[in-house]
Amino acid sequence: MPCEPDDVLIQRTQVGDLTAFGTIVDRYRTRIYSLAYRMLGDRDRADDVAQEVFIRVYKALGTYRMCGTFSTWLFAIAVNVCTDALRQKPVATTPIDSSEGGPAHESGGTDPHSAYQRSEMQERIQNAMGRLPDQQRLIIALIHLQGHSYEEVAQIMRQPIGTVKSHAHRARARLKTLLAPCMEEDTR
Amino acid sequence: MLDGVQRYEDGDLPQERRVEIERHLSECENCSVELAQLRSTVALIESLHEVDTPPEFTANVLEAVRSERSIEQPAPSVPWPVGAILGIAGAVLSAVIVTLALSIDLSAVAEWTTVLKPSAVAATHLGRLLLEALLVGLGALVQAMGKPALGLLAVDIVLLAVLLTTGRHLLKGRAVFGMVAV
Repeated sequence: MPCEPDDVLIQRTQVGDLTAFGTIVDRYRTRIYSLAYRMLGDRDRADDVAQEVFIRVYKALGTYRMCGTFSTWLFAIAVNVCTDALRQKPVATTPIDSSEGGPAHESGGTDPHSAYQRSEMQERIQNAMGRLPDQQRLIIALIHLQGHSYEEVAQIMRQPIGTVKSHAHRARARLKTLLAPCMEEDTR
Repeated sequence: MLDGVQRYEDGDLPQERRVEIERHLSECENCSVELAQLRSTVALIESLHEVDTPPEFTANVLEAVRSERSIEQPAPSVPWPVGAILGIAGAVLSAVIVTLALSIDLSAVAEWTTVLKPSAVAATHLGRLLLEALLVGLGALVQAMGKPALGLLAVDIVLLAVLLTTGRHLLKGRAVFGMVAV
């Protein structure tokens, strides 16, 4: 079956087609879940938040107007739900237990030692992200992990583009300090 | 300097300033190290993997949505021109209803004329109609902006307020008529 555009799936959902909504969820679930995980640092909370995002999207689709991109609208909802969750409980910055399964898409090589090193590096980067203020972490995640432009992030967060850039610059400067030991290890 | 380097990386600087910074970077080791570290930092962040959802994620969302749907269906989206036409039609209809409601009980108007001069009665009547048209128009505007339920509610509230403030004489029989018609 050819890949249906978001707008078509939205129209089908608006007339009660849940299969179409399932396709939307499948299309965006990894991105939304990843964002939630990077924001919250906890898989169970990320699962709850990502589900809540899609439930809110479904409820709001009745009044959704296709005047911007669906992705921007979806991520704006995701940002709101993540922010609500962070208000209730801050991000977890302790190393992630390897029993949780580790990050998905762990690929490349079967050497257990190098796999462990990769996993450890991922945890250290995640922890460094967790030490950023929520707004800065959100902006870094949207730009560098989700591939949004500054303009898109400004729309998603309803903030002036200058503010977004300023947060991003501060966040990168802080991460440069936090990740300096990782970079030194990398160059050894 | 890091801020300047970041703006350079963002492509925010005018061509002249870019050339200046490139010249400076080729001469200043500290700044070129800053830039290299910034790029390494970004590369490290971008090396973070996407995290996949549990396999049952979509099924769980759809299940949750199904149980929500048994309570409320998402309202179908109405294109704005249709909403606007419906809103204006609703407003015109509402105005007709109000006018009819006000014109039925002529005996009450006759009673008023014993207290007020005819010209004052006419002015009161005209002023009230203008106010109604304004408020009903506001309701239609809200409706046209994509909030049909809110628009209808606004129109209903306006009609109720008008009928209640029309006075005890005019309310007899007409409030019921007006509400039923609305």
